[in-house]
Amino acid sequence: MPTSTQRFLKPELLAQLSSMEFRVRTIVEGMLSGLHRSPYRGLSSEFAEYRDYQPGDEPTRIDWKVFARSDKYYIKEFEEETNLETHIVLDASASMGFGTGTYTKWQYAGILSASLAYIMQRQSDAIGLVVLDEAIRVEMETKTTRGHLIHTIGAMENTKPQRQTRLAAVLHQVAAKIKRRGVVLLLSDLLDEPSEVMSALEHLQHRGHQVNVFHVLDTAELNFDFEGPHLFIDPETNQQTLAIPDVVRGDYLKSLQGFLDFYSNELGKRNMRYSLVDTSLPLDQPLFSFLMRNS
Amino acid sequence: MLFVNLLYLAATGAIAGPVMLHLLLRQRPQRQTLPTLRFLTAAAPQSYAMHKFKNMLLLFSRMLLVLLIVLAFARPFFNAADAPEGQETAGIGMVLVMDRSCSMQAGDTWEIARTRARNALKSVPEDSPVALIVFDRVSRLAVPETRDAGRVLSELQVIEPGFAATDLGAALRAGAEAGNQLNAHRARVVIISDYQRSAMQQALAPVHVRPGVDFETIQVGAEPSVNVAIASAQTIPAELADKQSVLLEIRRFGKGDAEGAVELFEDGKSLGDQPLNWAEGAQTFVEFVVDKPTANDVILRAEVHVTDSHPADNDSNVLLEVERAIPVLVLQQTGRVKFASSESGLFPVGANRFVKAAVQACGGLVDAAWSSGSGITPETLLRYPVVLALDVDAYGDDAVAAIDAYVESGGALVLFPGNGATSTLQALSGSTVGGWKQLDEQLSEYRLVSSVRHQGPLDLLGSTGESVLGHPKVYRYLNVEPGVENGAATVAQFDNGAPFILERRKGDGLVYAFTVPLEASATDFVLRASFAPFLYELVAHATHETEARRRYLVGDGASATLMRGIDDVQMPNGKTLPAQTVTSFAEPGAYALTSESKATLVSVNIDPMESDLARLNQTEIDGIRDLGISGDVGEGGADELNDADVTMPPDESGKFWRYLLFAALAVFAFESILASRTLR
Repeated sequence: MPTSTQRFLKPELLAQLSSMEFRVRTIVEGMLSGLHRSPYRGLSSEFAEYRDYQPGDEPTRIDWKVFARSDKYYIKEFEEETNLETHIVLDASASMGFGTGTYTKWQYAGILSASLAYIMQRQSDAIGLVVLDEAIRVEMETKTTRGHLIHTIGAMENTKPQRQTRLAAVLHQVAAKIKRRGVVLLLSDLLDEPSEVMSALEHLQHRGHQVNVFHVLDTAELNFDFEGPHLFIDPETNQQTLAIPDVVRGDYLKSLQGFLDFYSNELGKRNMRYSLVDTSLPLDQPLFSFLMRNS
Repeated sequence: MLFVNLLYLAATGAIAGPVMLHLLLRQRPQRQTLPTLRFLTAAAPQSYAMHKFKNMLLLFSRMLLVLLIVLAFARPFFNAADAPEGQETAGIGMVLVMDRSCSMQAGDTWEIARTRARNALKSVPEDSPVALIVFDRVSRLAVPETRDAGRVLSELQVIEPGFAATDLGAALRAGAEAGNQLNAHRARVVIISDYQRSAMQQALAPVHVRPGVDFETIQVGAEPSVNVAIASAQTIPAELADKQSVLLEIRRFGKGDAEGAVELFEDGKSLGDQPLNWAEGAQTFVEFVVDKPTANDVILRAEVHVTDSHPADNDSNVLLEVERAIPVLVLQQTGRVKFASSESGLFPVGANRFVKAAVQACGGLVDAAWSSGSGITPETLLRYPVVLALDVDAYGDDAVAAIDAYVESGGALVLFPGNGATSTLQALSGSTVGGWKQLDEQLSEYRLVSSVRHQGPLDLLGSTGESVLGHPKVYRYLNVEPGVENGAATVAQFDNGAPFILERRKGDGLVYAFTVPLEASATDFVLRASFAPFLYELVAHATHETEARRRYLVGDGASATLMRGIDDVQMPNGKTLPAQTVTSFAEPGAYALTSESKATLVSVNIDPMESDLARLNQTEIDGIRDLGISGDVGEGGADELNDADVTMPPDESGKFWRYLLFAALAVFAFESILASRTLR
């Protein structure tokens, strides 16, 4: 059991991410001033545009310099910054506990989640957490405080992946629970029925969320680089299969690629960000890649 | 299956190596958690099953590889013909070839041979295949191949040498055949013999043997110091009519002098003995003048009394059949018989006279009886092996019928035409008789016998080339067309091609028909001195055509002709055996062949060559060992023992181990490919 929040928060990683910001591509609602654009024009220091004066507009919003030059009345519109609600959804099913490298999928996803949460909190964005497997195991509301960040990371670290996956069904529950539009960061191996998972993700998107999917898989799952006869065991179903990897590798990779292509294509069609994460890669790579794409 | 290098089979335990390797390197399936198990297809379990199968196949191929290599080194073979040459193994057999000819009775030769045979048997491992062949003039498989050497030893204890001559060539062929068939990769053919030089009257030819078959020669007995034997005997008419001479040829072999005597016995009764007087050289003749036997089938036996190395050939070395006269019935001319009168009475003239004179000239070799032909019956005629009919047309129908039946029953008839009708001659000769051909002497028209188809007696008449008896002239002869459809053929003809003598086989009998009357007016043949011996030879020839010969050597077979109609055979030792059990003559002596209607004596003698105990030298004996040749014998074969081509061709047997190595190579290639495709 993790005892320190330092487990998922890697100082060296955070040091690399110190200058990174997470910008949401889409306009989301925000109550507080934050990093993200609000669809609402309001008090702001950043000029947005001019428009004709309409009776009822506040005279203080009239750009008098433009009047002096043009003898016409124009209102100056400004961008209004607001805070973002980010919902980190972590898959804690038993399959996430698999790992052949330094980190298990769960650990890797946890570190990514913690790092993203840190960045959000530093941007004064609100972060929330949902940990799920066959049901919602942990649910934390969105807050911007640092203390909430620590509690959130602590909740991640205290979770142990062990149960079966009902990702699609639980995502639907999550979609129903989250009221305000925000960003959903899903970190999962997506080992559920793909069409049902897509349906749940569409539900989230329909609710106005910007859905970002981190498809976390172990390098062994991605490459199937086993040697010699193996008795493979599914950690969730306990199904066992004897196989010779060299013989079945081709078919396995073909099936896996089809699985990955499905999510990549379907999510892409729906303007959902898809990131395939190989747990053998350095942790900063997927983070940087994600943040750069969103900057 | 037999093996050349049996010890290599111990390496079969090396098969455990691949098994151990397989067990040690065998990988049990690793347990591995795999959340993405769903992406393994249904073929995954099958691949594991295939993997297991490939591993087992790999194991078996490695075991098979080891086994094939071990077997190849052990060099198995399935029959003796596959056995390679020059390998020292336990797969060896022996064929004993024992000489049991008469010469093996000399001294202690046979006992030595028996001892050497026993010793030879001891030299092969127990349970080896062995066989025993005994030989003299013929070879006989006494004990077929057996792994029980005791059977061979028992047979050796029982067999004894006989009295027959030696055929070493037959022994070699029999030994080679037995050796080739022996169920052992190597076979020793051991020939135990005294190796008489006389056993090689003909040069020995190489014999074909398979690789692994070798001849061994064991010579037994010592060179004889001296041996004396009766080489030949004959009877000669003496000057006195009631006496005959028995002339014996005595030979001395080996080194040393021999003193002794020769005794003559008639029907077991001694007629006296005479000392042996050796002139210079190894040959001497002894003559006995004895009373001429009055009965037929008198047995004369000569016995040499001398101390020599081979007494077995002396005791009854030559058994003499009485050189008895051939009984002939002369059917003299009747009716037109001409007789002349004299103070002593009537005496025949014409053909009768010439025949009588000829019979007298033959001395006692022809015992003629005269008959007019009246009252003759087939039974009467059958007492005589030959009937001379001087003028058949003079006989009545009954007589002619009796003559015809006599020929049918096996009699020999010699026909001479008379001066009268020739219808009976025509009937008996089975030919067409035309008219007379009269030649004019003044015009030098005479006919000579120009060609004779027969050899032997009739050849005395002369043929193309030199004539022994000159060329008889003929002035008058019958034109005869031989009745081929009746079995008649011309055996002598005149210079113009006209038949002189016809030969016809009728039933069991024989007919010789002359086309010339036995009269001086017809031919001068009757006046020639050659007429008498011709008549005798003709009679003897006719007799031999209908009767089997009566002189044999030990080992000769009893021919069907001889045994025809015979019921019992009395052996020289006095025992009587059924005729069908006597197929050859195994011991010297007189054999009485009897039946209800006839009795015949047969004399059987030891081959005189068996008395010459001179042996081959060691070089010649060594050459016999090299007569076993693998492969084809050359066209020329071996004309002489010392010149035999005895080069051995390369060993072409024992190829099976090569096939095993080739199979091992194939298995190794298969194993290598399989191993590369089989996961560890």
